[in-house]
Amino acid sequence: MNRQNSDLRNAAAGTGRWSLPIRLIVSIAILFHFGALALTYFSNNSLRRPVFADRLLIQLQPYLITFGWYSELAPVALVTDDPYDRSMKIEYTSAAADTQWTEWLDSARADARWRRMVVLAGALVANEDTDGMGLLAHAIVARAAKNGIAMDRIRFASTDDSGVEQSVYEAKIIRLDGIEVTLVPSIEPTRTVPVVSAASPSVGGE
Amino acid sequence: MEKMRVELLSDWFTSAKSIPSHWDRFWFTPASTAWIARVRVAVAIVAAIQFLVDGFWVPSWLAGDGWFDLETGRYFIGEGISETGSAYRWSLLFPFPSPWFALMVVVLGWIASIATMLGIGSRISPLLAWACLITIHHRAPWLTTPAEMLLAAGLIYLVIDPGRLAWDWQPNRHDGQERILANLAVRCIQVHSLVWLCFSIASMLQQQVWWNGSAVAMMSRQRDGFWGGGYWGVIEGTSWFGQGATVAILALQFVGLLMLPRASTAALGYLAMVILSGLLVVFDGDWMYALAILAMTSAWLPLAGKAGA
Repeated sequence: MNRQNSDLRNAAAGTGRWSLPIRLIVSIAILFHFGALALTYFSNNSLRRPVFADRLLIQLQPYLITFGWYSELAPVALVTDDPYDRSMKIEYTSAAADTQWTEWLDSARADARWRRMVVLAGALVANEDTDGMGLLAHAIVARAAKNGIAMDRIRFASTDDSGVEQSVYEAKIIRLDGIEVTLVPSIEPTRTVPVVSAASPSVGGE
Repeated sequence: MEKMRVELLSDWFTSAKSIPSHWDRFWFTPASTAWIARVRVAVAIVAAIQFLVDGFWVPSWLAGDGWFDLETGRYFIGEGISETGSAYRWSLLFPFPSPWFALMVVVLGWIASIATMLGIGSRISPLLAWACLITIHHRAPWLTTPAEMLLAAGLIYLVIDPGRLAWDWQPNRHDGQERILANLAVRCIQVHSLVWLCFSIASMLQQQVWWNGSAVAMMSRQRDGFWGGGYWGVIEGTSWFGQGATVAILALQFVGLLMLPRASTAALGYLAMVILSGLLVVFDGDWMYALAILAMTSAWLPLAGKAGA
């Protein structure tokens, strides 16, 4: 009994030598942790992983996501072959009559977050996720309005290998009741962004 | 021939039998608290810098009406969709979307990092810094950078045992303060850094640009200017320099992987990590990732006069 108490005290303090059962439990925890970590890391950016890995990752989500081990989205490869992993410009016009696009952001000259944001935008366009792309553009338009930039149209443009700039997403901004904005993508004019949120009243209704 | 086979089998069994004792020694030998304290200082300094950087983007991006507003954040974690794991993304920035709250998270994280560096608050400080980092990460995992993933791991391992106070960690002093928990914390950071290197190499080698040598040239076209990095300017994909730099980034990670775990070559392995970090800064402009790699892999450097690996 005394020996057991001493083991527990040692384990709690981390001093002395731990008893076999405690070492066994900690060893199992270590194997579980690094096994789960290896699984999530090697599944990163891979759409070609085995089905069992997919299933296992879903089972392990409570542990992996809660504690922040889930690295599915971390750009560890730094650059990829994906056609959308390239710099992009975000441009806008301020009035309906404007034919000239004004450059608002060039991701090549922006910080890492904007680079991540345009990669996300590129991935959405490539996957034809119009809702996601609309939300992203909507958030940018609403925030730009808050910062005093009133946009009438917004577009994301990337440069292809031959150096020609092409639009990958373009939308017209509609202001509703002067304070809410919604986006109508130019390639799908019957569809609007599914949510609307309040923009700054000071720029609304222009 | 038969005798040789028996000897080989006998050697194999002897080696196999020694695995549990090696495992035991690796994980459960008490280690100096100065060792983990040194790693703690390195990880905490980088975490403090990370929170300083976060102060410039988190409030304007992750507030309810930020560049990555609440609706967008919810959509991209897959809220309401089964098997996306969105229920486990517990970021406090979802229920409290004010920019002031976002700034408070950053400031709290910074204070906790400084406290961790100084060894104040024992396990609470690294835990708090980790919680602040993860609350930012869970709000917008798409915007996460590799440095944040590494730092979050480093901080949570420090909760196992943060080691002794910052002003009492001189590498040459061994005053008998040795704990198994200190060893466990160092070993977790060591193993994690190796798994990360494997992961990084595997992620890169999935991409053709890392095989054909054009990765650095591609990076140079995507990053330009002070904030964007890519300090070398545009590099041609066909140039020897660009291709050599691409191979060097890969090779240095292999060198680290092979040399860091051996006490006799750990210093050379760390030198490879220093050069790798330099290349990441020059070509990728990612200072934080470079610093995070250096902080995490510093766990492999043994204390003066002690075998570290």
